[in-house]
Amino acid sequence: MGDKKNIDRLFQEQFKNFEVTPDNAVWENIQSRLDEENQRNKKVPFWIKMGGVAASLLLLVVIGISLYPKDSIKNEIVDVSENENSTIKNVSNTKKSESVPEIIVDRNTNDPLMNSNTNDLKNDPLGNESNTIRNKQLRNTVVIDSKAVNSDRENMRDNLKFNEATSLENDIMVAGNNTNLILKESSFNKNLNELEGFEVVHNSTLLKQKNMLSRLGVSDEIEKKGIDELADKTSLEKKNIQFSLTNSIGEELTKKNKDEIESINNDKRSSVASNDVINKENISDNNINNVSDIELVENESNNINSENITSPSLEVDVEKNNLKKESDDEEKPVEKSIEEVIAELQNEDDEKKENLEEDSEEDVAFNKWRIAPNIAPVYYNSLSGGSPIDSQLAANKKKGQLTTSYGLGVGYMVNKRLTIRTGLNKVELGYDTQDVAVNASLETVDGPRMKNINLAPGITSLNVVSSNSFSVSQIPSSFSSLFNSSLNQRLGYLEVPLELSYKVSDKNMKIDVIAGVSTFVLNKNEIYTETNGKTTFIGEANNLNKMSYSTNIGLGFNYKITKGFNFNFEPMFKYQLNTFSNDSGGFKPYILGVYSGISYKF
Amino acid sequence: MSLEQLIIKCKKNNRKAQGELYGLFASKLFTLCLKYSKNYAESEDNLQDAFLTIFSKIKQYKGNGSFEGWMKRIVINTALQRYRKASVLDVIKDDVLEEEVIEVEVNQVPLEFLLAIIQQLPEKYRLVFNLYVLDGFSHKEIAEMLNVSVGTSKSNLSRARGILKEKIEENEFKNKKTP
Repeated sequence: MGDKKNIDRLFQEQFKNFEVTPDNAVWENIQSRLDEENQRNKKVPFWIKMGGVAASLLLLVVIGISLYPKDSIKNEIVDVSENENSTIKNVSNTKKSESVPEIIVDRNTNDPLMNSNTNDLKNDPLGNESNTIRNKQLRNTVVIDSKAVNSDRENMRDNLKFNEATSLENDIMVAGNNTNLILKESSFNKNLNELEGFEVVHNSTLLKQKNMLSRLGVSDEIEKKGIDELADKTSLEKKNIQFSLTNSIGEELTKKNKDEIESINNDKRSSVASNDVINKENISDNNINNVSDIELVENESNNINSENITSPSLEVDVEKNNLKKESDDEEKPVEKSIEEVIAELQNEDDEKKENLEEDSEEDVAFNKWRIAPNIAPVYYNSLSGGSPIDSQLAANKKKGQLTTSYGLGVGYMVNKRLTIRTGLNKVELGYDTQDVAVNASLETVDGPRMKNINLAPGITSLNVVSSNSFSVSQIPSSFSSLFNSSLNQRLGYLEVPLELSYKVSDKNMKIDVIAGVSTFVLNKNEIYTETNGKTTFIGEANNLNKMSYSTNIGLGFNYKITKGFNFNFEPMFKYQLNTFSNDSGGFKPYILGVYSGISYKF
Repeated sequence: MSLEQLIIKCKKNNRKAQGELYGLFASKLFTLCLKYSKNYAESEDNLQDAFLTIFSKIKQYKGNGSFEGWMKRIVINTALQRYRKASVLDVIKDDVLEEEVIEVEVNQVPLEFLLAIIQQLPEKYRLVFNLYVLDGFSHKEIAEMLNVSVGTSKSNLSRARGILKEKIEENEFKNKKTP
């Protein structure tokens, strides 16, 4: 017989050095579970990363786009206005610091085309700082032209050599053109007419002189085509110019001016080309030649006329540019084959038409702001099961509820494709945990509580049991009827989204890709039980964060109803990131919503 | 490799280090599981869950207190969680008993027998007995862990002791009868 012993001591002593090695299978299981978990961990951040990457990429694009074109547009505007000012104010302003060689050339009077206008060509000491170089070149060109004409008309007189030399050296200045452009429009126009004519003829001369006869074998057809196109172009140009006149000076204008410059240059180039041919083929017949030249030139000068009347300084600028380019073109474009030139013309023609269309559309539709009231059915559920209410409910069936979200969105179009959007939405969310037995009572029952629920006043005890906690045999028959309840968690949020939408299709139905984040502020937190259609409020969850976030991704479909009004249809997926402060019970909530509404652009 | 190095590697999810850590502590923690569970299979499940928790939470171990103590706490929590999940409907009389010293007359009681009778205890009694007698928690701590009152904890302990004593004495009696 032993002695009496405290039972606690008996156990303590016996268990002190007790160790049992578990079966190897346990470690095997742990390993496989670890593998599973690693994979799951990899899956979850995928959404977060996706959303994050998409948002930051779009943000970068926004920053890039919003910085770059604004600067360049600003510069252009500044440039234009400077030119404007300087041309208008400094027409007669002189800066003698420009050392320009002064050569006075008398107009040849034996040219029948230039009888009325007898402006002396003299050095223009015009000194617009920003225009100096252009002016210089402009003058150079003009001189070259007139001289070339002289030489042509007089069948290569002695001064031909001299002209050629000077044209290549680019250091001869012509007088008074700038002042004429603005102050004496009529005379200028005539003058310019002639100059253009000279130029054209001169080109042929130059060509001859440079022995570019290899291009002679071009048929009349091609030549005519070129001329036709030229006519198209000039009419287009006129349209363009008219269009530009209706607009105030702005970014569109500068853009268009650029286009004009290009297109006018193209005209010149093509005139060069076609004239080459004409000249080559009709070397003996200068008169016919001149007629066609003059026609072309008249078109040009018409343009120039209208330009001058409406916005003299700007158009003068354009002209200068043209002339400047021209002087370069004189040497180079003629080396291109006619086919090339024509192809180029066609391309640029098309481009220009496109530009025209785009520009006009842009002017009408490019309203930067939009406001969009929206309403959406939203579906709330978990990607992974789990339960934020209690871990024993993790495996229970969850049924997402279809609730509503409504609010007002504001968007700002950074450019034609990219919009930054924000707003304020009121969202109601909810889901059911099914197959539970609920016993909420007013008596104090000492037992385990649902630690994530703060009970409503009046309810002191709540027992929730999942049907999954028991195998069927374990459930007493008297209880089986109890597992017909559901727990209904209802959440309400104020949502502030910050999203970027990028237009991927600009057809009748515009399609946007949308990505961003939302901030949720909790404003409703309720848990109900529902048994046989009877709903009882039992309390609120204590593990919900006041502020939570989501990553959003979705598609936007816009259909234009009338000018300014669009119908929007946006299926969105929102993955909530930190809904629960601790113990989310493996619940990974997402929100699926189809937001629709009408937006107004202004 | 020192335990510290092992922990650092485990924090980086190094599978080899996790295996070594398991090898070092599995026996000790399995014993703990055996005491807290109602049978061998449940002990294995608890050990597995506990190690998974240990590996996933090891980053939270900042070196305060002993690592073994930290792991033991996780094992115990795992057992408690199972209890919370499954034993909601355990109906146990909660009238408070006076604490008394319970003594038994014994010679040598085999360990296996002691373990068996612990495992046979009703869940709540087993937990309280283990926590109080074998792992040195106070009634206040136990009350918090199990979401019960201190009185309940005391009375559960008392009842557990009573049951254990009965079984030990029963066993003694049997042994005497059939020597």
